[in-house]
Amino acid sequence: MDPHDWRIIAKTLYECYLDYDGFVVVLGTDTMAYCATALSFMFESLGKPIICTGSMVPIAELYNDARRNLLVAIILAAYLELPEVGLFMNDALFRGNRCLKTNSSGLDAFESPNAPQLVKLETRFRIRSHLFLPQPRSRLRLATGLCTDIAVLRMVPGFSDDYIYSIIRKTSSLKGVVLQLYGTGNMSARKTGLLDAITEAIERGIIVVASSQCIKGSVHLDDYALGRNLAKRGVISGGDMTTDAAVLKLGFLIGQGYSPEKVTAMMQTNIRGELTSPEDSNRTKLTALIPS
Amino acid sequence: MATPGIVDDDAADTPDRSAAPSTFGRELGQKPADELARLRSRKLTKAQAIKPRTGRPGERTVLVLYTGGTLGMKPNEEGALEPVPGYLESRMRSMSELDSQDAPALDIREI
Repeated sequence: MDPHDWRIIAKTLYECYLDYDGFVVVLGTDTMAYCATALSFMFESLGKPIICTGSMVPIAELYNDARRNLLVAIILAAYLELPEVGLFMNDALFRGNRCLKTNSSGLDAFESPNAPQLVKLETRFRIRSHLFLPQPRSRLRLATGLCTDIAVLRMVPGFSDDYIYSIIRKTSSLKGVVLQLYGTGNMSARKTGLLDAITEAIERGIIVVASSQCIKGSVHLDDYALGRNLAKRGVISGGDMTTDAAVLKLGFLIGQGYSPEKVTAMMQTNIRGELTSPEDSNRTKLTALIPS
Repeated sequence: MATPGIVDDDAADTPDRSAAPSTFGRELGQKPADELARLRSRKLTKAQAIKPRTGRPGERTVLVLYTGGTLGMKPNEEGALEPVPGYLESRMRSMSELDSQDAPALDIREI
């Protein structure tokens, strides 16, 4: 399962879009969140549900989660007014591009740490339709271009950065870098060489996005001096997107042939429900609470 | 590919054109010829009706696209799981839940 497969899936759904009320895509769970995220970006102005699902135990087994997941996904695809790509697993429907596989053995294999569940399956359906994306106002468009010349680099305190330098300096095809930093967007202040390599990459036109190793919460580059330094050098905040969503969104935007300025602006704009806009994140500093 | 009412702005990577060089969307070091071979190796089955449309007013229709994965796999002779064409379809045909009037009309396709 890779971008070629995602394109075939997208094109297949697109070609028969008018023939059905909803779609269920059955996938392996390991790459399901990636596929759901990719599909969410490829379809603009989607007006029908596309529900990705899978199971941890195959339908061939005496006991399994396959049967229920498949049946509930079919029900949701048929009857929900959900204009987006969802992911149903176990007892919850998530926004696809907010998902992470967080459990390799439990039946509740997925979570969307920064976005509430869209539907919770109980004895009845707990449907949170106020959270659904709004119905589109224009016609469906499919854009399957996806640039895959993007490196994801994860920091480990005090460990060698040599490979990071060489990836940034020696990979001529590189178009984007997603840095998995600590917390709200921190890295070691001692790594001046790394900062220089990042600056060099940005000067070469490579788009550098800051993501967090924490699965919950958001990058805030303005909280610490180091984050501000990164932002000053042109590093973009990935906000509360999952690292996977940040990578695929970056690949999608570059793949559309957009200018670096447009990619930079759109990376920080919510386009498919993948990102909580800063104005919606409701962060208040203590100083703002204290009357002056 | 021309479906009325929807716009496809991306025809650059349909199988018949993928031999042409494209700037974007290609994996590192992958040649267009490999891409073409890979695309051709994927077989997409035609839609098979699991639950045919009745034409009843308000009837909903759903397409299930099976792309592989644990859900529809079958143990082989050695007990290892593998995807088998048509297997999920045959299992779905025996799901009595789908006989319910509440179940939508249902087609399945496999990649």
